[in-house]
Amino acid sequence: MNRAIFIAPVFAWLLAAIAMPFALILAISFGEATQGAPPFDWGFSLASYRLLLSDDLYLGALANAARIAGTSTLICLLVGYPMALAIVRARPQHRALLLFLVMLPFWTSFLIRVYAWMGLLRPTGLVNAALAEFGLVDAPLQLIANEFAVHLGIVYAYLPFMVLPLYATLEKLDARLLEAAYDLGAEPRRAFWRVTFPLSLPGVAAGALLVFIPASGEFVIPDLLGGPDSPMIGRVLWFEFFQNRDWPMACALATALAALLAVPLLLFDRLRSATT
Amino acid sequence: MIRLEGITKRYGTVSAVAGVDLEIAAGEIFCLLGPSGCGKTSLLRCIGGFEQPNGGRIWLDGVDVTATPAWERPVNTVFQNYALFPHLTVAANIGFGLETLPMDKRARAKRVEEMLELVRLNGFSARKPAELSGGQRQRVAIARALARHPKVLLLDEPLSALDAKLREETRLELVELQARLGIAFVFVTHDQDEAMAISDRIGVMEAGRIAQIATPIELYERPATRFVAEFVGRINLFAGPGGRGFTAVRPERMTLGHGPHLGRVRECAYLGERRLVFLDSALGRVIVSQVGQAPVPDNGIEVAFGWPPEAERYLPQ
Repeated sequence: MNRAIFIAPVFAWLLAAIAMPFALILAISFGEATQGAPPFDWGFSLASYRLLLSDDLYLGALANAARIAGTSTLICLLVGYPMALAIVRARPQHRALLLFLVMLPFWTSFLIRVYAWMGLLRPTGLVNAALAEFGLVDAPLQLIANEFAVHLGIVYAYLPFMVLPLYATLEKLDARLLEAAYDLGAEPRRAFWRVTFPLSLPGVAAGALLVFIPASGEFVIPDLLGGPDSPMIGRVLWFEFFQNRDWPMACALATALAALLAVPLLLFDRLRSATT
Repeated sequence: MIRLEGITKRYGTVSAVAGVDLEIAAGEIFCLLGPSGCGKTSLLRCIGGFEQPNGGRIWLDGVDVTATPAWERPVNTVFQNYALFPHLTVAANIGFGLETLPMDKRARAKRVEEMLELVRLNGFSARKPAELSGGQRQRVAIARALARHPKVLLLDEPLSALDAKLREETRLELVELQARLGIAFVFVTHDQDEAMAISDRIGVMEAGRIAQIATPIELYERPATRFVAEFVGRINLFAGPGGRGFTAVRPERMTLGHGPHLGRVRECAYLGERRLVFLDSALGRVIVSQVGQAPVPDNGIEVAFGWPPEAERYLPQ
């Protein structure tokens, strides 16, 4: 009875904030687009899904999203792991400051920070101006409106989400385990790969999910920093909703994206039950 | 086997180890005994290679290893709370130290089997540490540390995580194990019973220095300082001759019912195999330990007490 009192609000929240909106999206995805308000009729039509599967634009955008989010997650891991490790091994009195610096970007609006990157990267921007000033390039480099800029933006924006769970996992790790590895003849590199890294996998998985999931649905970064060559699903979804006003199509895309994101979540759950 | 020369270890401005000279022979059980914060664990960590001493030299089997990293020293450690790798099975934990040795897979598996046999954990090789009892975990830690044929085994409070009954059994097993292997065991403990029961020699540490190195019997019968006398067992301290130093008498050497002094019984503590009688007297607080069926004095009554002259020991400080 007591248990129910505590759990009930959680369930109510999950129902209101996740289950019901998702059910609505699923229901609309089977409807048909019309000229009206709201711009669809309820029904049970698979037309949107058929179009999704037959049009290269949609499948391509899903694949692009998975690919770009995937490589960005990998880069975040490669950059974020050494950062997290360095913070854990820093003197205790420096740790709080370093963590504060990791979180500092959150104090400015996400949108403004992405606009700042536009200012830095565009042909007449700060980076190109500096390169030209030092005579390193003859013509401005194309640093924006391409996949490079999208990767850069995603890594920049989501790096803290990788660093923080990694830090939390590494910080809890018993220092004696590393000493035990040294004691048993493992030099530091070997001790890292045999002890520290495997024991930090839950943090790696949590960080990877926190980066990969929002990055695959990301709309602002590809819209502002990306080019027309490789649209990501978030942008296509936005276009279907607000430009095309094809709600059933947009909802079908959202459902497909959710299904795509269920894969890493299930893998994470598998990993967790395997390690505990 | 181990020779320490003037080892000092400072943390900031605090000296944890303040100039320790020590020699430990091959095949001996040596115990570093002392209260928490006396520097015994820091000293052990210097021998293991987990701490770099600020001064002094460490020799192992005739080789100066002061600057040798932990992974190259021919010593292994049984850590306090064991520090078993939680993600590896019992067999993988024991085999961990063999991976960097030049031996093939089969020889490695054979050595792991031997070690499992040694600590009587056959059949547990596929378990994870979390699936073992405290005593079993401790045996895995010992097997893991012995697998590499160390010349010295370091044990940091190896019994403190076990309950009292198991602790007593396990220390007997450790003594047997050491006799069979013939290598030096260096223990760290704060438990004087444990140190007395298993050690060939004990080094009592106080504030970063060795107060006395002696066999358990010597340590108890002929403590060198007041600190050692009070830390190892119970002791009665009286003002020494001419007011200098102390006259020390162990409670079981005291006589109750006859003797030149008078004391008032304050309390009796019944401990099963013996009984402690606490007296207030002109000499101060006195403890008398009695065995057998002697009549129990009532609280508050006056009794005579004394001690034979051969039971006295003079402590200059």
